[in-house]
Amino acid sequence: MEENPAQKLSGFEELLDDPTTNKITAGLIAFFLVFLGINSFDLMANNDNVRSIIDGDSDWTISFEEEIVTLSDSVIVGDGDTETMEFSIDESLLSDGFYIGGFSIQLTYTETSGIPADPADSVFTTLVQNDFAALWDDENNTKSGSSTDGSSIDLYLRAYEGYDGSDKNMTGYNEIQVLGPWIVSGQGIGTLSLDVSVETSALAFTTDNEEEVNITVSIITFKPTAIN
Amino acid sequence: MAQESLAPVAAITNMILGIITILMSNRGDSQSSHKRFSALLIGWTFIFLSLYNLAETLLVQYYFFVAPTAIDLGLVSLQGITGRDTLVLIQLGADAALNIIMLVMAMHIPKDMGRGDSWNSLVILVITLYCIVVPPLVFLGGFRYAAFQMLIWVAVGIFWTHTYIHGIIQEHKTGEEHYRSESKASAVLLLIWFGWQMIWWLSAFTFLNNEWFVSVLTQLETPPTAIWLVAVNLGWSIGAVIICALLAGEAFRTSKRGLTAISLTVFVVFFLGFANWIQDTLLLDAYYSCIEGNCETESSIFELVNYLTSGVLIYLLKPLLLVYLMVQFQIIDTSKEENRNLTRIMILLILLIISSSVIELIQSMIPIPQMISGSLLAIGVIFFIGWEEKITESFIGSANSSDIDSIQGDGFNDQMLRNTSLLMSLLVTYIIVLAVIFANTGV
Repeated sequence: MEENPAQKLSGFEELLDDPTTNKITAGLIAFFLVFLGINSFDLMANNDNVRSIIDGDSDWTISFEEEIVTLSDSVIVGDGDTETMEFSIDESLLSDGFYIGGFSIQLTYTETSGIPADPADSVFTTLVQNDFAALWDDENNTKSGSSTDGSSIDLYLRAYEGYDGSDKNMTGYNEIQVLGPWIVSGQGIGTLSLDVSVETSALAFTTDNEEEVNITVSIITFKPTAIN
Repeated sequence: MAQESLAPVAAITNMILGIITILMSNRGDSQSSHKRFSALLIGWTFIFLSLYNLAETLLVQYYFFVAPTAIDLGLVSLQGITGRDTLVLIQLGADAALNIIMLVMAMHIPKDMGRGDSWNSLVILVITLYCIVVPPLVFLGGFRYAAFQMLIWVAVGIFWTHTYIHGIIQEHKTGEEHYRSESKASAVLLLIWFGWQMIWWLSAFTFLNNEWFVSVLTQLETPPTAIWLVAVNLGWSIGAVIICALLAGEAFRTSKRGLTAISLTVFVVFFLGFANWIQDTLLLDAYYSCIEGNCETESSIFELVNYLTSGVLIYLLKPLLLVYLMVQFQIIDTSKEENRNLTRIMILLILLIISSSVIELIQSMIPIPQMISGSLLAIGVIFFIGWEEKITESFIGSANSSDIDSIQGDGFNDQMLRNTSLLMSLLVTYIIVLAVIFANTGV
């Protein structure tokens, strides 16, 4: 049977038979188009702002201002004995905006027996690994040392991941993002402990059974600055 | 406060509902062929939804979380991981199929727009061509082209809204019951397909959605085109316009004729817009954090509100409302005894799954012991078994004659209906095979 083309889409005709509905729908469509236009314009403006940041210069150089805070103490260690020295490191030692990058520790001593030609004693020292917030396994650390000739002993303990004092290149959309890795507080805070042992050397028929060891802890602190 | 994903629940539910609906459409000999075709459309909607949710479930389980918006707007990209890429492409393919089925559904429910074999053949041809052509175009041309399918949403949204307004006005003018059926069916269909976009209406009107989208824009490696940005706004804008039209219509009708379940649902969805707006306002700093500070991790508040609003609407209410539509408007023939059993299974399944999912959701938010949630579920099961007859009757019995008669049309012969099912099966296979091939070749 041949179909009447007029009847084929008769559903549309029924749906469009009421002028009031048609007017309301036309109004809705007009509102939708205006609303869509305004909304899209707003989103495009947002996108332009985002792209200007993302497609702009995202290379930053982080430079560091360094300050050294020094703590010192001395201890008299008996022959064959080991003394544990503790240094309390807290944020009150730091200037505003500074973070702890690492610790440089120097132990010095001289022969103190007062006997002429008395040979230098031997001093051994080791940083005590505990829950102190530092990078204990960093390859640049020097966690122990010794001296048999009165020379100083130098130790080093890194506290902040990646910090070595040199400028760093970073990428990011803003200063906060690139500075983020360099403003983590809490590193190097706690009690730094080191063991100091002494073995005295004395001339025949003389007595030398102790040695005074001076310890200087240099706290290397830094303040990062980002330059675009 | 991690929420359990509803995607696996939706995948299983939709699969079972799809199979049952297709079976029932084949058994509905006494039904008009138009209703049988409509049932087939709904049945295959369930199957494609299931395919989409299954791919989503596997992606979340093994690879990454993918939001529905990411697929609709083509924000995903291929990573060279075959399994992951296959699932993403399946989602894009299923999404394309659902879009065209939605358009065809608009041409058939509640009003049949065309008559005759040639019109019906054209409808089936359009589905086929769209599913064959669009997914490869999106795969090859760039996923962001998927966003242009939002134009279908706009067309369908305006069409159903017009049908809804037509029904409301004609009911007011003439007092005839069947016009309410027309507006009711349109409102239900709008809630099914656009419900989750509607809940952002206030954020759309206050441009907060655009502020939220800044967090997405910062992650785009290549600058988006202006037309894509317009496409992004299509979904939110049409959702906002639709819910306002529905609210005005239901408020007007409620003042004249009293409150109905559909009116209540519309009011609830409208109210959810406030909840989403508050959430967006509270999280505004987080959205801008990627360009103004450090990117903040996903907020648990955002996840929670999102899950309780759009998540529930997408995964649970969509199948529930589709079942309601089929039963209320007798799109499936519930009068036959063998179909009645399947209807019972369908209704109880959807109610039970929704109950258990809601209990699981509550449990994931409030640390109540499993013993209590298990007991609550057991109470639910006992209730559903005990009152199974009454529940089913209340569903089926609530269908009035004007609802039943409101969906009419003709022109589908048995051969055409059988071919539709065969064609849809082939399209499912095609989408999966295409996804596997494109994922393996790296597009």
